[in-house]
Amino acid sequence: MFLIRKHPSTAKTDHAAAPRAQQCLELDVCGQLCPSTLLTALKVVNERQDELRRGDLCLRFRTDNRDSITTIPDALRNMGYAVAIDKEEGNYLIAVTAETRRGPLGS
Amino acid sequence: MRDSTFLQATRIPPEPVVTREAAPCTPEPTLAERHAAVVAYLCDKVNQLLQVVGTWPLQPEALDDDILISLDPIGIIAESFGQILLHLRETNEEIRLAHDEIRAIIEAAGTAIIVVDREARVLGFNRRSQDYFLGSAPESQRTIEYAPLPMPEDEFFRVVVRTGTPMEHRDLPFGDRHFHLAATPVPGPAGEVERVVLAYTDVTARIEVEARLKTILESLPVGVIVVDAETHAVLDVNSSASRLLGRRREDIVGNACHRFVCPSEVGQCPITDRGQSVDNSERSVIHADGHLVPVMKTVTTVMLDGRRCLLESFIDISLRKRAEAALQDSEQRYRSLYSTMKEGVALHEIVHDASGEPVDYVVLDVNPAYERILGMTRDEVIGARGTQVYGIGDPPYLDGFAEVVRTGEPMTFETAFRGRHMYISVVRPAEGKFATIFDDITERKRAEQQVQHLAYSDTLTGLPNRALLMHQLRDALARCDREATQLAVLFLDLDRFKPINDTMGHAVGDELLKAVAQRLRNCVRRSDTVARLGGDEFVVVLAGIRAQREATRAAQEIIERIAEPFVCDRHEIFSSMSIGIATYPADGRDPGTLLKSADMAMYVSKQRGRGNYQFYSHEMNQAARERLELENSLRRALRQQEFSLWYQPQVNLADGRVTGLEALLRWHHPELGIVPPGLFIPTCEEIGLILPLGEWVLRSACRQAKAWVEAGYPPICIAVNLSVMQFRQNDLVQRVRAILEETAVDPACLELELTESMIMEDAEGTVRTLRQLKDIGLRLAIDDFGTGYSSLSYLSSFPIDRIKIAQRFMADVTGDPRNAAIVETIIAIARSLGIEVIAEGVETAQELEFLRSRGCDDLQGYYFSRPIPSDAVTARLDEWLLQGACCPVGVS
Repeated sequence: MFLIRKHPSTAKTDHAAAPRAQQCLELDVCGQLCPSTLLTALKVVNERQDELRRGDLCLRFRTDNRDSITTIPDALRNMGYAVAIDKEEGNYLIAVTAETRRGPLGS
Repeated sequence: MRDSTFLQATRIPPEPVVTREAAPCTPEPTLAERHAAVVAYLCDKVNQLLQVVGTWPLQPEALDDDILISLDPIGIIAESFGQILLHLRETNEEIRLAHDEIRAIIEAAGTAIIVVDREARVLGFNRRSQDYFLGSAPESQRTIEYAPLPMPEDEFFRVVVRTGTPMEHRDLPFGDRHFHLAATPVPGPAGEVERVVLAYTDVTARIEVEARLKTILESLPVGVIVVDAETHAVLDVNSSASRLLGRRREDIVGNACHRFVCPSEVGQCPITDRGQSVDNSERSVIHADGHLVPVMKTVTTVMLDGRRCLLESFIDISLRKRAEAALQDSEQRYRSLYSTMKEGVALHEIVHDASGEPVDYVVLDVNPAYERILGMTRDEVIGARGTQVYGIGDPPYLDGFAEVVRTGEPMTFETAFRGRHMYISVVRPAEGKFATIFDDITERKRAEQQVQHLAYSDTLTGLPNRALLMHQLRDALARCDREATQLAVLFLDLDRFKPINDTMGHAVGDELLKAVAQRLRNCVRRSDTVARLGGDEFVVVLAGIRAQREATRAAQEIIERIAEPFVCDRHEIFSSMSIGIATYPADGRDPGTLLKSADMAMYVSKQRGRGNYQFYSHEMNQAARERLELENSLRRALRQQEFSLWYQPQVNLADGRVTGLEALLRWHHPELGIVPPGLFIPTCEEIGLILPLGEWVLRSACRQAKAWVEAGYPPICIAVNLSVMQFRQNDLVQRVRAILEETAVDPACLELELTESMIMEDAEGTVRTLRQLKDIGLRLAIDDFGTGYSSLSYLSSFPIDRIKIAQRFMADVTGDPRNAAIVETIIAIARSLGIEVIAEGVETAQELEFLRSRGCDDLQGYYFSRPIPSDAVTARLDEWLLQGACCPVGVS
């Protein structure tokens, strides 16, 4: 029978496009290093997971630690969130939203 | 899901209690040691979890112990892990959905899709593959080796597996179908080809369409070539193009198109050089033998296999070109014919009113002959309307012309225009137009009428002639049959016309005939036919009669009317008519027979007395047959020498001896015996036998005279009667002279006897002839003097030697004082003119004495001798030549 393999998403610039993401919470974790930043991010995500998954909330992490823009998105994507990374005034801005549901042929 | 060990390790009990209970056997670890162990444990577990989450392990320096504990990393990570699992479940669900979706799509696809592994073992396939190739083969046999999977060649699959590049084959035949095969390699995680997806698309329909198109293309009469738009190299040609160019396909493909098409126009390609998208034009292609073939070429741009190409098609138009040239030629010929033909031609166009009804026509063009025939110039008529050109009021023949224009059926008619007769043909040379061809037949018409008149009427009287009579008679007979009536044919002959003509001249005769014709017309109904057959013969046809008495009445009336005197040229002429009547159907059923019957009846009528009529009877036929026999016998008689000459002596009163002999013709018929001249001379005249017979008489008489001279008798004068036809011969003088020379007779011994009527007609011509005869040296006498019309003045000028007193005056000359007076007068005139006189028919001594006393010179008659044959003459000639042999000499 067919084996269909779902390739891991490699998109780095998934923009959150949920229309209901009214509230946006920004957390500044500048000065922290990984995995502190990661744990901080995970903690907030865990606490606010219901709002996030409903699409009512958008979390933004501001970090100056370059490793964080690898660790945080990797972990959050594994958890099923959409992550977008921007660079702003020497900092990184990691935006986390509910993953956009897509069918196999896209939506 | 917090670890109880971890809870234990992280709870900080009151130090003494915890420490004593926790290490009863082993030395108690110190608090510090315990703390370190807990931290190490925590770090270890956190790292383990972080690894699962997918991020880097903790770095010892990143967190101090307090933060580590207060953060509760294990709790955070455990929570995160739970979310990961949740997400994984959702993802799996999505994948299953997607798998089903793709599965459905693949199943629904019209393409057979088969997934094989590197060893070509079938891993998966869709329903279409089953239909096409795999059928219901058990799964264990579903490999390329077992299943009938079409492959181009062995290498094809191996190349795909080895190189990892997709490959395709455009036309793979399999059974009666054709497939397009696309083999797409699927790399595994290691990057090398793990599977190959084989997609078979059924292209049978396309291939068939292509084949059909190819067939169509090849069978087209249109030449087609495909040219690469960039290189202008020919990519393909069809057979028509190859035939048109006279080259094989392989000699064309690959060459630049300019070598064959658009010669000498390199760089002038309408599509690639001038930017046109389509080119439709007349051009030429070069045939292999060098000649240019004119074509109608069409070029369009097409994309073929991703390549821009020019599709050039051309139709051989040499035939059309030739036809055009021929047309032009014919046009020129037509033009020259048009301008030189003798018939006038005019081209017209019909003019319609608002409702489409033809109301007039307009002249578009005319040729020179038209101008000549109709007497109008081009400039006058072109653009003018029919009413202006040909007539006033309604345009002439408009309906007919419109009909020709409508139906295209030609029409002809005759008409007169400005005194000329035209034969007009009308044709439709083009829609809405008509051409009239004018043939001027004025002269022909006139000639025709003349010919008609000549052919069917008698020029003298204007009556129908024999031909028209027969025609009308035939029509009348048909009418009789239809109406059940009878018909009478009256054959009329003017009595004694010949003497009138002879004595009073032809001019008077002609006048008489005209007058007779007029009277005949007045006697009959308009529906009856009066015709003149010639001479003095007329025919009247009474059509539609019911009884014989109607014919009788008509005949009587004609006889009465003709009996009234005619006045012609100041002469009063009395005439009469003999009529023979034949009736239809009793006496003949066709015109010829009826006419013959009527003729016979007339003949009988004439024999029975003039001025009478006679109905035909069948006995007449018998009489006619006898007449025919007579004619035939006469013709035979001359050949068979049945004629002979008898002689009657002429006695001189002065010396009483025979001085001359009159030669008289006798016919010894083998059955009938001797036939008197009165019975056959008229017939001889009618059948033209009189001339040879007359000549025979003359020659025989001369020979006899010569014979007597040679026998030792003194020359004796022979008198020969000359017929009127002989006398009128142009060469009479030469003939007489020739006979005299031939027989060596002294001309002075020949006397020619002429009648009064013969010499009085055309008196001047007669004088000339008589003088010529006299010049030969012979003698001339007037026979039957006193019966005809003689002009005494002419008589004195004619070189006449003697006159012969007509026999009828001698009858009872001694008893009838009137006859005596006539004879005396004739003798007196003759003596005073110095002309000798001889009397015929002397039968008694009293008559002899009467004539002698009046001074007549010679006598002839039974008193002396009847006419006797020549040998009898010879026997008595010695005696006759003695003085006083016949009568006393000089007694008065």
